[in-house]
Amino acid sequence: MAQNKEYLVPRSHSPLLNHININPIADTSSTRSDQENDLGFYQKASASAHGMSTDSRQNDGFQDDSSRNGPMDCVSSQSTAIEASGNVDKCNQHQQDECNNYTKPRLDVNNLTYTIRATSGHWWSGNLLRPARRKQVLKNVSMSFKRGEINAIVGTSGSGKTSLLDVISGRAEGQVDGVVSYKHEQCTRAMMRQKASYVIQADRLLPTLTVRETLTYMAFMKLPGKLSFKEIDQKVQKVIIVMGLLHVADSRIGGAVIRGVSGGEKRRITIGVQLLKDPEILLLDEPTSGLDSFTARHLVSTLRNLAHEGDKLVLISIHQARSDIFNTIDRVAILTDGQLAYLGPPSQMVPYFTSIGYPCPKHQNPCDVYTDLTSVDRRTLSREAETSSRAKEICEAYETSELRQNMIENKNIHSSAYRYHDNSDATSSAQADGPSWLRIFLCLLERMNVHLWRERTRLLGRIFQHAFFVPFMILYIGRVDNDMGGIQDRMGLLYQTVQTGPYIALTNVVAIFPVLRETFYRETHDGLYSTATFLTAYFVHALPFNIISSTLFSTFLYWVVGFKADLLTFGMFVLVTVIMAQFGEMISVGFLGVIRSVQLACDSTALLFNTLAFFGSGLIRSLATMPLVLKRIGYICIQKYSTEILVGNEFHNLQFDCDNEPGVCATGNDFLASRYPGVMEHVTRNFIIIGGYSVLALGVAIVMFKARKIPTLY
Amino acid sequence: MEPGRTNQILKNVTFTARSGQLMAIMGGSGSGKTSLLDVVACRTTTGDITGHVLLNSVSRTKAIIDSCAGYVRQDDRLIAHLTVRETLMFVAQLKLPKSFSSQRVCDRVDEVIAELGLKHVANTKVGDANIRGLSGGERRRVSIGIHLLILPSVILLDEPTSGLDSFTATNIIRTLSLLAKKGRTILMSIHQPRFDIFSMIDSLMILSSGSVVYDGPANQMVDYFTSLGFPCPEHTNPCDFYIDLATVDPTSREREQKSREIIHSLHDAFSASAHASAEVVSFVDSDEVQKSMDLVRSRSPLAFEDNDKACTKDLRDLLRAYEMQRDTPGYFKQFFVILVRFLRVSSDDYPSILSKVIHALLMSVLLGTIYVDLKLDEQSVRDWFGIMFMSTVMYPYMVILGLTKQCHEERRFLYFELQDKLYSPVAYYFARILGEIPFHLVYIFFYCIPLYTIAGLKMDMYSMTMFFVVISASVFTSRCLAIMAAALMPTFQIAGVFAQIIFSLLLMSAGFFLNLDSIIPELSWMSDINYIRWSFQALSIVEIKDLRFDCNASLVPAVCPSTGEQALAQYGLDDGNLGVAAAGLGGSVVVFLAITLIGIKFIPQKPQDD
Repeated sequence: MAQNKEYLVPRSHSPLLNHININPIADTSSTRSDQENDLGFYQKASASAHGMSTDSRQNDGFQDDSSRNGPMDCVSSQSTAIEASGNVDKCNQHQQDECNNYTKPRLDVNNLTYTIRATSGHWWSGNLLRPARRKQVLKNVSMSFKRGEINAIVGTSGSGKTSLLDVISGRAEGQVDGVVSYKHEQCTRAMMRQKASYVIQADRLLPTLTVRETLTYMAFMKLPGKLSFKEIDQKVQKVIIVMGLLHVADSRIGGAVIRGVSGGEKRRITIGVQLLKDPEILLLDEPTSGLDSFTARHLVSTLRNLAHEGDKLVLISIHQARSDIFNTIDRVAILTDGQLAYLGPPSQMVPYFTSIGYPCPKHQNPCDVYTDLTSVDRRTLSREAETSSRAKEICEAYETSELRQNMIENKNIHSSAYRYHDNSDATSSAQADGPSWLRIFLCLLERMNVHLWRERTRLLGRIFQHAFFVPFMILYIGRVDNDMGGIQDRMGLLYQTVQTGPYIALTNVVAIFPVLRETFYRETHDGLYSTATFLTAYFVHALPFNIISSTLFSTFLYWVVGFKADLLTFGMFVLVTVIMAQFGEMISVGFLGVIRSVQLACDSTALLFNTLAFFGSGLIRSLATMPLVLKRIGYICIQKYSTEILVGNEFHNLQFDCDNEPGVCATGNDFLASRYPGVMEHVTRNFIIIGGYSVLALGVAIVMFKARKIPTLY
Repeated sequence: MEPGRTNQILKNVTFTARSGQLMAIMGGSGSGKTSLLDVVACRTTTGDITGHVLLNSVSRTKAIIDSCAGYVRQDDRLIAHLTVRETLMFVAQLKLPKSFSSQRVCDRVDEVIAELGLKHVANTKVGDANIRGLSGGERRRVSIGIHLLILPSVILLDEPTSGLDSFTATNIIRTLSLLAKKGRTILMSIHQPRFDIFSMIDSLMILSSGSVVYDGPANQMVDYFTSLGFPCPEHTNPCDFYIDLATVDPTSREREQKSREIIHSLHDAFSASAHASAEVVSFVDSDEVQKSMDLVRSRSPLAFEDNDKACTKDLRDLLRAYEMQRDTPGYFKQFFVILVRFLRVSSDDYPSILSKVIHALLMSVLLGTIYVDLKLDEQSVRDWFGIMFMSTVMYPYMVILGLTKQCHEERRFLYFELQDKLYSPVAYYFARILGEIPFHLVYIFFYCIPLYTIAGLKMDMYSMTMFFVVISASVFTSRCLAIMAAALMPTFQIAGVFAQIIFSLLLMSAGFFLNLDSIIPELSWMSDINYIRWSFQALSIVEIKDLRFDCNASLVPAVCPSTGEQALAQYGLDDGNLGVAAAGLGGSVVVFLAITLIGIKFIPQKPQDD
């Protein structure tokens, strides 16, 4: 009945009508809905026919929406007027009826089936040989959510809550059948990137920054580049107020070691970051997990305010909703084993389940009772059979229920006409709109600097750790002698010089980089900047520190040990150590990009540095007597070239004391001629090569990061 | 350092847990639930405790508590590679009196397995995130089972349901309820129990920032609070509702103020109510706590009537349990049991063994390749020493960090097993070091063979055996160094840095990077006690001493060593023979192990979880 009538909506109304809610899905009280649809269709132009006590806010939403978004309901961009009018044209020409019929913007999930390839172990446990199991995580799910409401998906672990959010946000990695659409457009990743924000379960924030700084840096990287600093400050301030973070705005976030803001506040910051862009849809995966009951309730009520007053579509997944949280939510979906067991307002849940034969005992939380009722107990086979058949029964009951009928009827009207949005112009407009590369780059750089500056011990480590190594190297000998044993001592010291730079860089990277990597993963997930931007910023960030620490190291070592007293060779010595440190820095970073485990990455990098030095330096095995194949391998090692510079400078024209062995005496030139022939001619070439290597290391790091995809963050 | 603030965690808490009942302590986080259990179980390490904890009227000491109570912690600290039966067997062998025959120990383990309904998984590995094994609920049962082996009359559990799904949690509580029905006293803390769990609890106590706001039968809680003017709304779990009521709401200032007032009134109401005064039942018999007895007696004289007879019987039971508990196996048995477990766990972890073998092979092939095709001319003299030195240090360098880390990971259960007085740390360390030797020899074998053959060292039996022996000895010494570092230092990071600093000091003074003759005389003792130097020297003596070098192409013939002995002299490795080297290595082992023993005696092995 409702179906027929809705076709009667006049088609070419003013754009204002777009926002009038004639969507009967809000009327889930099953017996009255038909009646109300009759009336509603005519009356809802004034948005007052809702059975629920939401009249006033519907009105608010209505005004809000129309004043802010204007006539752009069908299109993804709300940025510029020109674009908007263009899209209206498009609307009028092709998709008129949808534009007009759809009033309160709505997110529809239609017959969604989501299949993933389940792997049952690591590849080394023979997994490659077994065929991958295909697992249906979501089975033919249809649901519909409205803007201006807070919706929750409830279910035990493994029921498909997170998968559903993944699919909606366009992050699905498996096979998706069925359609997810928002405002009648099929959701694509690019579109969802603009309209929706996905708040993941983990808070990955830099512990040293204050709340305001965190949000400001994110705003610089997220918001259009044409905004002035002042406007950005205002936006940040607004988010701080909305999320109730005013009292901690200038406190550091803190982590395991430094105490900072509380867990609930961290979660608020994570959500606040996603609000900067003012998305229409806010998806949150288990926002209350790990929070105590008050904090959780407070957070959900903030989200509710966001939905109602900010006119957003808020969709959260929740594991165990306590009754106080449960009652603040507008609509609840219960998922079990990938199927929908209930979707409707919480107040209707007990009546509905009672009507199909499952009443709720007096002192029990209906949400707990009904999630348990629908979930499958897999501990014993008989229990599993029993519970899964019950779950199936309930899902089937829901399929045929009036609750669902209402939703489906309402949706079927246009199910044939999903528009496949041409997302190329969406992305291009997003790019034109976003901040410039330089702005992001400088912002990243500044944030890294601030972060390091606040981590005092790490900062001191960065500057002095390299020089700290010198006493260990010179403890036993003090100064190098000029006798035959002096050759051995020099080679040992030069080997250590070539090797410590990369090693110290590695230890610094291991200490500093993993936190940055975490934030990088989160932010690049949001599509804020590219791997190359991030790593280039890190390269630039690390360079001055490597210059300072290597200069300290070199000065200390060079003059105390008594290498050749010549300023030019000293300068080259410094330059070589700086370049080696920078090279080591970027290679270590690259390994951390490929290997998630910090310890394993550290070990592999150290092994690589050793191997390179063994083959390249000639200080462990002399290059002159090496078989040709190995010599060739040596050519790709940066250590070959840096050692040549150092050894050449030190031994060139070196005279040994031959007092106790009169007559015959070797010189440094003899040594060079026999072990490193021709090094003095190649100094410039060698510098160009090692300089090139350290820049190349940046490229290698980028490639290594790209080779391993960004992890899924849960 | 700022002066430490004192923080009162528990405030004048009085309660009684009775046998045959399942009692729950509830409260929001930070209300003092776990602290209360810690105090009862004598597991507090810091802080002042006033008041008394009485066990059948005797003031409990740690020894008494250990003999008759089990304390199940929140997280399952089980070894993934053991089966359920092995896990329980290990504890049974150490905990049950030595008078028990092995058959009786087995029977006891079987009883516990049956009691907890673990029969179907008795021979399944416990497992963890990477190894398939038990489910979370079954794992929790095994943790409980460990404490049931001594047939305790009291079981304390900290959050037995945390991290479990609702079905499993309900099931665990059902099991506990059954255990209680058999006459045990069960006291557990629980956070946000669901209604089905709540309905199985016999009596419960709600704590709010350290003080009691309710203590009494579970089924009277709603009535009690309703009588105070706080009825429970329909379709709301009363536990959730009243725990929230008794928790400070920190979300805004006025709410905080308001909730504090409510809590205060609840506390006052409870102190005045019948629930509080009727339950104080305590009396004390032993002499050492006479004073406390008087104190308690003066407070509630009515409780001391006609129970004297029962009391003496209870006391006798207690004493018997206590006597039995003192009769646990000695050091040698402990050593043996731990050794068996260590071998069992290590050999079961074959991915780890395999990866270590591959690691050894990789290092070996790498080193062998670098030194392939060594010549006998002047330029190659340094390379000959290079291969000797590198084979000595390459492997230990990697072993040290790995082992330090492993030792720190083992603290995860070591600390708690020591706290439960399962065995002595000395027995543990000896078992650990000895247990490692067979694996160690296998890795060394895989390390030596490719290296030796690819580099083309001397192919006679004597040299090969000596090479293997020297490398094993030096790697073993490095292992002792790593264990020492792990035993002395509080965290893995510090231990790692400590071991690396020692190792690099040893590295530099070993005679390869720096010439032994040019080391300043004041520090030459450093290289004399340096085990790396001695193994380097021993290898050089075995492999290089008999070589002859070709000095014909030499630019400066006078400095070209034509024999191996001259080369050794040039490197300052000419004083000392294999015997001295053996003494140097052995001395280091003894010193490292002695320091380790001292370290574990005096430094607590707290695990570092982060």
